[in-house]
Amino acid sequence: MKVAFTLTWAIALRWLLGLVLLWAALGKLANVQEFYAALLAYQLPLPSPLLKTTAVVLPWLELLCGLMLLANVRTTAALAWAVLLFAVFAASTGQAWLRGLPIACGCLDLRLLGIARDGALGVWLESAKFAFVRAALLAIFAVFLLRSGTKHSAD
Amino acid sequence: MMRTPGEMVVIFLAAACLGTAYNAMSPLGVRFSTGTAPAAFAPAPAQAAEVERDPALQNETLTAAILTGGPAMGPASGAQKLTVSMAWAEVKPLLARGEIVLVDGRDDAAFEAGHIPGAVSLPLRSLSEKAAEFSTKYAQAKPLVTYCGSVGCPIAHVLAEQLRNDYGYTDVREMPGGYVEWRTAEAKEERR
Repeated sequence: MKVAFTLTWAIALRWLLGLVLLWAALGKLANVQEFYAALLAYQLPLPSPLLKTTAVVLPWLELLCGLMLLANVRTTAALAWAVLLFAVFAASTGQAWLRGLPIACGCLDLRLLGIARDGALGVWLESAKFAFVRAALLAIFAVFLLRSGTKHSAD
Repeated sequence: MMRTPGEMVVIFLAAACLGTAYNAMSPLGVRFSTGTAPAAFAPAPAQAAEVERDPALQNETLTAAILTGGPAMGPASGAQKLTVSMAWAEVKPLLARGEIVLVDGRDDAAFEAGHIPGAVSLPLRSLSEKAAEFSTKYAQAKPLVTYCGSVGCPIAHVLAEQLRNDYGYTDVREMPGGYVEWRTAEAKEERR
């Protein structure tokens, strides 16, 4: 039996979103305290217990959604979460950028790419400005996939 | 599409369950009740009341440790038996008897996220700003033990060096295992 597989733009985009979520999740899970410290640096007007809950739950939400997007399981729900997550990231990093907060976004673990966080490239990639643009683009991609209403699968 | 909200809730609940379990098990997890002393460090009610009345002990996170001690915390060892690098098992009884000051060199955010009960925050990053206040509280002869996140972080060592060389503390040791060592050791104690 021959199984046909065509890599469409929708599948590629879904995989991209899945991989980014997975990457973001693993970096945070490696050190939840560090992620919580990064959250505090955003100086969001939120109570400490809510920020702690976010630090505990968010990485796993990213991990589950990333895996579901890669495996094409419950894709609509995972995409809906991806839209929400990327929109929240864009809003958080956007306000930090506008306020000029000297933060590292804490979004992705650059060490996996062999990039030092305190190097010039690492600082730029972790800057609020770049993180905002990245999150906004990914949110747009996720909305686009969600609205396209396709199954994003090879079946 | 009709099932999507329900599926989103299920995904969230699964993430919450996994996150809670992982956080409880991970040495680097976020603690929801920071600063709560384990039973071994809890002062007797009468002693706690005395602490509350004594203004000299206000804002002093070592008070709970100073008020406890005795045979339950292990044999007396004294500050003179301190070594350059110490394990949590050695630090614990000394801290409980108030013979040392345990100094957390991590940033405020990390300290707030979780720290060893009884530790005093003195972030290396803001040492020059906070050293004066620290010096008024703790005399140069007071034995100090510094720690940070884990063996992977150099803060404890650098802080110990600076306290010794730049601020005149004569007896400064470090606990290289840091916060992770404490969490791992205490988790084992709780399971017993």
